[in-house]
Amino acid sequence: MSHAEPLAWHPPHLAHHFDTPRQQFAAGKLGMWVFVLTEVLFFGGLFCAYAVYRANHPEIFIYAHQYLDKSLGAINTAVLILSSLTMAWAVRCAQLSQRGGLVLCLVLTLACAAVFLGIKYVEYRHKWEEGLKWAGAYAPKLAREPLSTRDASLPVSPPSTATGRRRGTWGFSSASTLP
Amino acid sequence: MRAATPALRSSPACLRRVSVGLTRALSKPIVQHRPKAATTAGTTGTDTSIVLAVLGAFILGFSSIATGVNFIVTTHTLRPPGMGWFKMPLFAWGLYATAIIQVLATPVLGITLLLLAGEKVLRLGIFDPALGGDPILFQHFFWFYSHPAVYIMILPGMGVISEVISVFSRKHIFGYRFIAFSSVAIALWGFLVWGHHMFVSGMTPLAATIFSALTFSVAIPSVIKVFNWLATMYKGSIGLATPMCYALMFLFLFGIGGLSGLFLGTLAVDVHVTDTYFVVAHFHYVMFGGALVALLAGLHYWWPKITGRMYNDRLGQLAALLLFVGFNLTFFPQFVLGTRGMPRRYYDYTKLLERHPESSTLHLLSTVGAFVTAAALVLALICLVHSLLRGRRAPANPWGGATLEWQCSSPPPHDNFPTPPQVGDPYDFSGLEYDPVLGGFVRRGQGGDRLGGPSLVPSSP
Repeated sequence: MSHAEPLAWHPPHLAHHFDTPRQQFAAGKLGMWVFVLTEVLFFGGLFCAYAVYRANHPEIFIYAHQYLDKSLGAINTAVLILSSLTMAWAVRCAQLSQRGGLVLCLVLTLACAAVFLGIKYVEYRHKWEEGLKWAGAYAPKLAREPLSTRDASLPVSPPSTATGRRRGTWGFSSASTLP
Repeated sequence: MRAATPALRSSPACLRRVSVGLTRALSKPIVQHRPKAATTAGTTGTDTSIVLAVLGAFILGFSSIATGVNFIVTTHTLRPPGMGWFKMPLFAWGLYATAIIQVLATPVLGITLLLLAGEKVLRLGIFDPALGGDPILFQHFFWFYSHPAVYIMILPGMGVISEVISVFSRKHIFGYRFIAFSSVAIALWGFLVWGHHMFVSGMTPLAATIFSALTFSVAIPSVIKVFNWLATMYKGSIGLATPMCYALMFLFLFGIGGLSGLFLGTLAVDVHVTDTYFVVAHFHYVMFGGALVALLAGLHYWWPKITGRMYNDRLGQLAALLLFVGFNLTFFPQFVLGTRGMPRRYYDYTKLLERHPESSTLHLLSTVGAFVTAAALVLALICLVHSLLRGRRAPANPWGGATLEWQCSSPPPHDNFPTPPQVGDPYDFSGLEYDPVLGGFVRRGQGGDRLGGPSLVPSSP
């Protein structure tokens, strides 16, 4: 942390409560890292709920995965990772004042975003037409076979969540301390 | 709530529907910490009012997160020149620890509320057993936020008490580093004890034992603070102005509240007193006797600085004394009632008193105490409002505090300090002397400062 003398001339991008641009940058950077930390906790809760749901209802996940398109999913994973690379590269270009590289990397990142959304549109549209919606609007048209013939031995009708519920698979939820 | 509805009659129908939904939503507990299948999921489709209230709480949560980020960054990067970490006032340490909890705990509440809204709208089975969800999961999520939330309430209060006790004992705070680090210890350790709210919800004996042991150990940092405050007062020159009255009340009530928490952390005793008045009494001794009384101490301590007016100290002391009597009269009988089995939430007291007439005396005492408490709070409010209208002008430093805010005039001028203030030891009162003409404290050898201007001359002799 540096406490330089306050500048006599105030740069237009410097907020009034900061003494120097360096101090403002340090504060903004720390603030962004702390915010990223809150996101870790936020999504940590989501993943925790996912893990518990999956542990309680493994049959739903086994049933549902038959309807996923593996090649589209694999392409999208690659697109996501590639866009992370191009975005990080863009930041590096900005740091090195390489304008051409920066523009190229940003364009590539945006192109990846467009490809990602396009593939998602194809996937979700398919689900929508098949009636594979969220729990409240779930109305599958089951006339067709699952995508993967290898898993044809698996059940074609969805397992019922209410009867398929299993307690005690999660360490905390066993009610054995009750008198 | 009902009174607001006729005024909305002229507004468009959709607005009215939203407002009625909100009113209905707010008349229910916003975050229900004991989910029951019938209440969290509803059986008749989506419950719009709950979804609205949940989204409101979600937005509030993000404002809390933003505040926490702001305080952490400010503490790290915007301390004045010369103020190292261990020259910060302990109040700032308390706020720093609070900000850590806000940043780490509130996102979990946020995702819980989103999942709850998702369950309502999309009928996903996350928490509701009727849809295949896990209600115990909701309790874990809820208490993972809501236990640290009580530390969000008490830690700033503990910071206030550190300031007030040192200033009104005219003695350097005892164990500065221990008080500072115990705040951070409470902030971090407080994340490991949420399970003690769920001992009877269904939990393996191993998990319950671990949570119980962690609960006992989280008491240690709080006790470190209490002993350091007592050691600060030891052989001090104690002045019983209103803020100090509230601080002493805090020590007494928070002590009882904390010790009764040990009863609840003990597994066998907890099964006996769960959901009884004992829990209500414990909670109020910690949150009312602790957090709210500390808030009153801080309000009376900084009131002259905030408003530039002095209040009537006698009236303030009287309100504090009345609050002490009223509070104990309200909540101490509830400890006794709770151990005898009085349920926490009750709805037909007539039938209760018919069946258990022996409990009527304690219930009556508690009711009378509630009215005395209300009267005391009204008196404190009268005292403060009166000071705004008739109070004499406050000097820069009425109590003789050594922290920076007492170096500028009351109320502080625009930009607070014309030149950067001199940072010294925040608890070194050796140079401060009372000036009867000014009605406040000045640094020794600054007779020319009687006009009440900011005293910015370095304090070192």
